[in-house]
Amino acid sequence: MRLGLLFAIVMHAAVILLAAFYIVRVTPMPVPANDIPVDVVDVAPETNIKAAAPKDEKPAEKPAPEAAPPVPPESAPPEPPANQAILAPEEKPAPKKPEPPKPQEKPKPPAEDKPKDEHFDPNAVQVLIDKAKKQQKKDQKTADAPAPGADDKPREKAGAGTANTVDVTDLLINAMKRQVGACWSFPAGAVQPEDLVVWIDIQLRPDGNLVGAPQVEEQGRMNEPYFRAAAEAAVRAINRCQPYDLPAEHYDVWKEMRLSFDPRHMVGQ
Amino acid sequence: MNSFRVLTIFAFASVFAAASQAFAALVVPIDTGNLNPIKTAVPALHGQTSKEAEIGGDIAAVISSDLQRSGLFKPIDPQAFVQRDLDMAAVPRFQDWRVIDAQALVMGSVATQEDGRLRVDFRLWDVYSEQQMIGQRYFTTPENWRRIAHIVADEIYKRLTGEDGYFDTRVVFIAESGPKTQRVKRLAIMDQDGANPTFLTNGANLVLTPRFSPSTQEITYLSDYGGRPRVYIFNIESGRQELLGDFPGMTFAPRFSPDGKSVAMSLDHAGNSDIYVMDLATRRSQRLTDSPAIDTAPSFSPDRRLITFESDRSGTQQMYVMNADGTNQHRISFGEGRYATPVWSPRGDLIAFTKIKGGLFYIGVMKPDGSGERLLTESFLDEGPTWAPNGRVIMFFRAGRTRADGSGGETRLWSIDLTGYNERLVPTPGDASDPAWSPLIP
Repeated sequence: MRLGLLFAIVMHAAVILLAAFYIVRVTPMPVPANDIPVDVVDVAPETNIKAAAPKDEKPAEKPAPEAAPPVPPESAPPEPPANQAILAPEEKPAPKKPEPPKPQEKPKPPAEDKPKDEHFDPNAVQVLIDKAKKQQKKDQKTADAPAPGADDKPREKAGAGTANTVDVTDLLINAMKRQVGACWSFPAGAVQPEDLVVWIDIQLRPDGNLVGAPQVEEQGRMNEPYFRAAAEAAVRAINRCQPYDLPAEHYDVWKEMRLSFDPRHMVGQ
Repeated sequence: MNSFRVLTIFAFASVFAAASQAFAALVVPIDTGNLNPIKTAVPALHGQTSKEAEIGGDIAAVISSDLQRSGLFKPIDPQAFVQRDLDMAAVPRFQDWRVIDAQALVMGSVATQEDGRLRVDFRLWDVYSEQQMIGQRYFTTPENWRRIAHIVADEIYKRLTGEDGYFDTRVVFIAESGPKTQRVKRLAIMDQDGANPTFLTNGANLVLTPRFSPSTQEITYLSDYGGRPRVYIFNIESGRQELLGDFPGMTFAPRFSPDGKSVAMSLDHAGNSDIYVMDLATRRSQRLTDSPAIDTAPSFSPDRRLITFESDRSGTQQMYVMNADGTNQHRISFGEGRYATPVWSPRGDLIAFTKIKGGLFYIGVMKPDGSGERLLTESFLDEGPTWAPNGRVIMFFRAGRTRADGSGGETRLWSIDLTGYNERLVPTPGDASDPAWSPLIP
């Protein structure tokens, strides 16, 4: 009986450990932003608009979503393309990241926007509006909910978490993406951008400054000229934009970070 | 019983401990940034004497200009510099450079040796990481300071982008002058930034389509010397011009193979143009195409396994690719309009071409399998793309419309990045056409 119980405990522990590590590796996979079909065009003005927009679009877009909550996009064909793009996100009220059923709704509204005037790309505008709306919703939710304790809550990120906990992570991720992305300059026209994804580990002090230098994970690849140039550009971006503006009450969550710099959508060859 | 309990507690504790450690680092995926140029500070190179200081200032100006024209760098106005007492033997005050957001700092010095040679030292600093990235020293004759500046610019370019540079190169082109009805066309060569233009022929004979050898200081081109248009080879160092094979017919559109040992060209015989490859050592030629259509403008892939060319066998000018022995000739251009002058990139990933559609000309690129066609420029007449040796920049010539009174019609060289950014005029002494980019000068 003793042996059986011991065996059961050890196996349970093994399964829990396996689940813990496996799920950790799965969730941080590339952002759902990749799921949105966007036409990346090479011409200069459109590329620049993507980079600048997240900061500027936020205040401008606030009035529009409030004005039209209940209207589903399928019943609004006669409206001009701009409004259709703004209304489409209403289908997905919850944040994108954790719940599996929700992301499946996303491909539908963008697909409707396909046949459009070539100079105005509503898909590109919709991406920006999605981001702005997510940011706005998160700000509202975290303002309402009490600040969760950081020690045991992050574990629930594994898929069963409360909406509040997941929002904190999303909020922090979006804040870092915005701040580091503003400083990250990547040379246009690089060859094989899928090979140039750089992972970097950093540690931050409570005031948002770095502790020590950012560490590039794949040190063995630093003798490849393209990878080294990409890694140094990423390190430069991190160094340039400190101190980082992040909520102090969640310091335990963001004091250590792994950043991945993925140039595939920027280089667009 | 006791040890059993301890073991149980230990098992649970280790599970929780491991789990909490696994969640410690927040993972942030960053997939948008910007394509802004890297802000670089290039202060004048330090020199003890006034002559050295002057050369130091000139070298810094050429480096700045090269980096800026590439479109990937943005040199900071020297008036904004805070630290003005840079010393090659000391580490810069990085805080002073961070204040002006300089991401890279170039510093150097120029000194004259006892034997009259110039010694140029330079360092490239990463301002935010506070590390030195490159430290090099060069020796040269004082008149050659421009090449040192280009070589330093290439080093900076390569370190910060990972690509080989293209600043220490030359461009051969046809310099045109005179009225439209009596054009004088001379072969000319200049540095890629437009400096040091030199004429190689005197204009007595018509010269067309010059092409650089990728490995030697030789140019091949078409000349009608003696009344018959044929392909010649010109050695820049010796100045000797030599006929490339005496064929019974007109030869044109020559292009070197990547190893510089063969020349592919079109031979026109009794009204039919086909592509031949001639081995320069044995002067034996091999016929590659055998169609009644016009096959011309051959260009080798950098691994020498494939050749792209232009043919009108389908009824209009289109692009084709075949093996270097002439087999497997297949069409790769299927868009609207006509395609001409295909040129394989030295990087091997793209083929540049001239496209004619709806009365307008375009310079474009496509992948060697014909997919991913992108048009980079558009105008009344854009033609004749040539690649920089790192496969990132294309130079071409653009002609303006000639008006009814005979004015207009200027022909100039322009360059553009392969992403479609950074279209720039290349300074030439007068009208210019048919550019060909040299490899990096050895």
